[in-house]
Amino acid sequence: MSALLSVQGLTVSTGGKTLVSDLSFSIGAGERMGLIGESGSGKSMTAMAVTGLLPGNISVSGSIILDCQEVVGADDRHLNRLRGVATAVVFQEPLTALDPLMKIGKQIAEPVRRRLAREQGRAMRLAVDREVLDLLDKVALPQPERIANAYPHEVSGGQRQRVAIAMALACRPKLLIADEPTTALDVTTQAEILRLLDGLVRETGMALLFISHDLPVVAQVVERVMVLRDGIALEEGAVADVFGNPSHDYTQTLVDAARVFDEALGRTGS
Amino acid sequence: MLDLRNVNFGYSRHRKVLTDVSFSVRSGASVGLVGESGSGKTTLLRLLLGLEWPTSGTICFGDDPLDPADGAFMRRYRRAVQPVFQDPYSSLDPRQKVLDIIAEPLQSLRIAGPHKDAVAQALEAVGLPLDAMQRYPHEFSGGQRQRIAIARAIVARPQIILADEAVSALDLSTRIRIVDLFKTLSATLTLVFVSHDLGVVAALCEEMVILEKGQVVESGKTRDILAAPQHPYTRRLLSSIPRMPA
Repeated sequence: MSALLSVQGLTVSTGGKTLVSDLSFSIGAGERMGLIGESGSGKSMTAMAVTGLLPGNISVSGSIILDCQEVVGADDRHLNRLRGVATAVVFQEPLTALDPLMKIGKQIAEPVRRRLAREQGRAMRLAVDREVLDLLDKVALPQPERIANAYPHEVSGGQRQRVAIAMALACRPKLLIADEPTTALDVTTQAEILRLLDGLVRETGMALLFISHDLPVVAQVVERVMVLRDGIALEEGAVADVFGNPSHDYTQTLVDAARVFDEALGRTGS
Repeated sequence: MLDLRNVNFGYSRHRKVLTDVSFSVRSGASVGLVGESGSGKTTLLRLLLGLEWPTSGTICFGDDPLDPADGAFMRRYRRAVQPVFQDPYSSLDPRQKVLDIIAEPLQSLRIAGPHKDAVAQALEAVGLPLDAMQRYPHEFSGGQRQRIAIARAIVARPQIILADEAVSALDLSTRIRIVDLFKTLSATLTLVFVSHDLGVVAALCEEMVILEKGQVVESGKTRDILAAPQHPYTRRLLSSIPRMPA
């Protein structure tokens, strides 16, 4: 079986500066993989490249095969078809990812309408509305009707991120890309969102590409991780192997640092 | 050294931000103020910096309450208390040399110059080379900038450092080093460290105060609270923190 996403020799550069260098990895259907890196490691660049969202002044070479189609060099018409069907993204900051002037229900309705039109040839308004409420319910938002009628600024940060997840789910993508989806959230909210994401990914059988700088967070939701630094992949493997027995000094530094804070908390929290 | 008694505060009459907050910070202690967004931790810090005044209740420094009318006392207080902020990209003036940035508190507290020796000592204490003085903030990484901000905080030899999420914007590998620096400083200074990150506070502070929606729900020795959290919110906070796989 060919992989859902296969990245080969991906290099991203701009103005003579290489942001991602010769990166290769693949994700099979239903697989959950994490990209770990600190700022400037190229992890978000990689996600943007996969969705074909990099701005024109950034040059991309190598190959990204997503759902049997080449992303590198593809035009927007092709990419638009891939986006949604093959992949959807949840970004870090839900306040900037959502349109502040559009009611939440209407924002979620857009991808729903597109998918229904694609699948059934038409999108009946009633069917769209019902699906929007279903999605709000699925991401465990209380009073879906009220939320659908609210603007993004009227709900909390955690609720906004649930809305962003609902929008991504509305596409029923084969691969969900989550780029630091809980970094802007409080720790108690983060725990809820991680539980939600984990449950939804398992339930729908989507593949997941989870991008984060936070080692324990990554460990909670993925099976396999790749560690990036300065655009270069340092190592890749099962979470237990990479965190338990890092082969690269840099990974060891990260794991040690994470363990200092983890051990300071004692074992009461687990 | 700092003593808060029944402090209440609201930006408007109808919305209370802090309710009946009481705790004290002993001289030489390191205290973490822990809370999530909306807990009032930043407002509390603004009160401690003398940027806002309690609606009711008192904040004492030593034996005397902070009083906006007592200029001489407030000047003494401001000299004793120095802040470190979250974002070293916005808290340093990009058009000033590091020397002038670090010397700023000495100037505004009207401490007589020349300031170069004091700045050199501060740079040494935070582990930066002396030639940093003649450079500008943009030439430094995030962690180095935070070291500059810390150097600025300690240059006037304050008694208390008030740090507001001072390591939250830093990468993990940098964060651990800045936490170590704070730990070294806290051996000779009183440290009040505001953070949403319980892991950082646990690694750095001997005592902590847990805030929820403007109220203190629990306070005491970090070790004791972690071993046996009393309040349901503290327990929820602790169980929400993702842990490293064993």
